[in-house]
Amino acid sequence: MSMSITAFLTGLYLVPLVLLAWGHRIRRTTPRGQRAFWGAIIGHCVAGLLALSFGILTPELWPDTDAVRGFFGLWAMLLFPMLGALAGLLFTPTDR
Amino acid sequence: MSVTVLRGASPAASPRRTHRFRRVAFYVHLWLGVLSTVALIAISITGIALNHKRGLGLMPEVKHEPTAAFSEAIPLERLAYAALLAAPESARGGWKEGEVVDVGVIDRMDVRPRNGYVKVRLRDNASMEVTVDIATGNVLHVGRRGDVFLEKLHSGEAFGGTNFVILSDIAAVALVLTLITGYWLWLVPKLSRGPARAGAEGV
Repeated sequence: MSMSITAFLTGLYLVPLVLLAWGHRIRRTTPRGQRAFWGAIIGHCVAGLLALSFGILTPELWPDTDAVRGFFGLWAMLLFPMLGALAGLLFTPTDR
Repeated sequence: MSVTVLRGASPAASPRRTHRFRRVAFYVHLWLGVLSTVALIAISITGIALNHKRGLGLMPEVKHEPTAAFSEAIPLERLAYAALLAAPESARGGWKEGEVVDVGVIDRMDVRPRNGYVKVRLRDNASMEVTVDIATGNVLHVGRRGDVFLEKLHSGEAFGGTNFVILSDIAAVALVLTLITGYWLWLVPKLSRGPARAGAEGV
């Protein structure tokens, strides 16, 4: 199994699993944790839409050299939730 | 009176079991629902697109009447040659004009005697299809078969062959379990509320 397919399967099944476990009793976590969680959720939703759009539009198999479709179709669902969580952590107001 | 006797016969074990079942059903419904969301959305969208493949232009419709009797059809090899000649260079593999037909680049040849043509599908990424008149060898249409890719995406094969149909199997099992548990979660409160309401109404 190639690295891209592993990343795709991780993004498809493992990331939602982690998000579900993380979201359990999310109200009791810190504001930073909550922001990171919502960032990851938004990241995963956006990535799902992008993966679907880039996967379907131009309905033909894409070669390994097509980096754009490869990135959005296979890697986005793994990377975007991480970026979303990171953004949530970074942009949490700390002066309250 | 009979209601009282029945309640006395099962000392609170049944409600506890029902509650446990509801709890399990709730978590199965929640976790499987979330886990299979993206896969099921993809399968649903590709399924809708496949249902309307002609309308969406994914599968070209070539209107054609037979130009001669089926017995006068030219050999398959000649038809394949005509198709390869008409196909874009990117779809032909390494095949060049004048060479023997390379069957390695042909996926299938779908003969339609009633329409008088053969559809020659090539094995490139776009699943290029060339429609050729079986009597004259004239090329009627050259186009991509988008539905072939969508079918592979729908089944999971697009990710690496037939082993990956397990992806759509997992999503289908998850959907069935989510539906059953959803039905259970909707039905059980109604069933358990039924006798209580009936008792309150003095039945």
